[in-house]
Amino acid sequence: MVEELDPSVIDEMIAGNAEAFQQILRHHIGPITGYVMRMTRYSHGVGNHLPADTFEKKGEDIVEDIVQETFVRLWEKRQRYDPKRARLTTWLHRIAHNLCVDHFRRSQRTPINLDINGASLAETEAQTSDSDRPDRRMAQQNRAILLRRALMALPEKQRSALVMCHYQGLSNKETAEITGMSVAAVESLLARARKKLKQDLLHLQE
Amino acid sequence: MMNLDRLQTIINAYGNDAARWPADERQAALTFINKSSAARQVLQASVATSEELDAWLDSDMFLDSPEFEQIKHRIGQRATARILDRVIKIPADSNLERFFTWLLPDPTSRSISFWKPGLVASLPLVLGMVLGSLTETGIRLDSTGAEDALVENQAWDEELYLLALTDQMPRQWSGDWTEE
Repeated sequence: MVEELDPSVIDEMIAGNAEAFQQILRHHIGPITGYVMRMTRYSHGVGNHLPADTFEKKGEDIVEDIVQETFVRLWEKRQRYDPKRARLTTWLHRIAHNLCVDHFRRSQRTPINLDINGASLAETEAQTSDSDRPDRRMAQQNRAILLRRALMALPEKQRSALVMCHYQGLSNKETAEITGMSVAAVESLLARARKKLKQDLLHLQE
Repeated sequence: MMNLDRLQTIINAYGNDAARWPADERQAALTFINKSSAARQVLQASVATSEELDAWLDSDMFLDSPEFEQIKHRIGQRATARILDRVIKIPADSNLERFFTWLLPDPTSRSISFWKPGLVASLPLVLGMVLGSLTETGIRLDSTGAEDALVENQAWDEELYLLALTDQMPRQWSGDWTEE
């Protein structure tokens, strides 16, 4: 959960103070980068069996572009933001979410194979085996990679709901506001996402 | 109002860890579980699979890792520079700033257009042509004094010669006007 800044900083940013904007940028860039990384298919080692310390350059550029556009839009549309209606982090997540959705629509023509049924935990461990590293760390990394692949295999709406609620610490009402759905719809998405993840991950453990 | 259906919905959506339940319903759900054996059964039934899934989800606390800090720092530095570069142009309070914002191509834009600088560069040329066409030139017949008129005529002829872009100066212009 992101702590809110002093309301006066937000008021100054709305009034056009570039220094206040920089303060907001520094405060929120981490969580927004994290959200975009989790949402985009190029997130850390997903879908390509890369070791966890390798980060696809192209993916980093996409994340950077979306993060950049998120904050530029914040500045451009700052007059429309009403602090009484929503937290700034909610508003930023909404912008970033819409940009991620745009990105998915544009990149649908070149899907990456995210078929997690083709790999098991043991297979992935064998692929990334490295005798110099402690087994436990390797096991954790492999679990994390498989989880990310399973997350990426979820439909976009289910993934959005899960990432916002579980990882970004946003409430169900905030998630509903960001995604433009009702709270009941968000909870339904969360339940379906958890069910599918359970099935996929249990299958991988076998 | 908390009931079995609502509790089941909450557990299905958020898992069995009460810390992840909606804050405004958490206390009511916990109170309900304490009072109702049926509610405790619903919770117990979900423990095994829910805890396992939460363990999986929590294994990817990537945002807390030093690796993420490095990536975030890298992205943050580059994005911040680009954002500020774009944002600083946006306020454009003065007319001059607004003019330069309009004029200069945006390096982050995919389609950089150079017609604006071209248009601005051609403005002095157009202005010169307009001024030239409006300015009266030629031999002033009302000059006072014959010498002034001759000097002025010579200057005018030399100017015409230069404009003609030819090496051959007409005979009547090459001589000394004072002799004729």
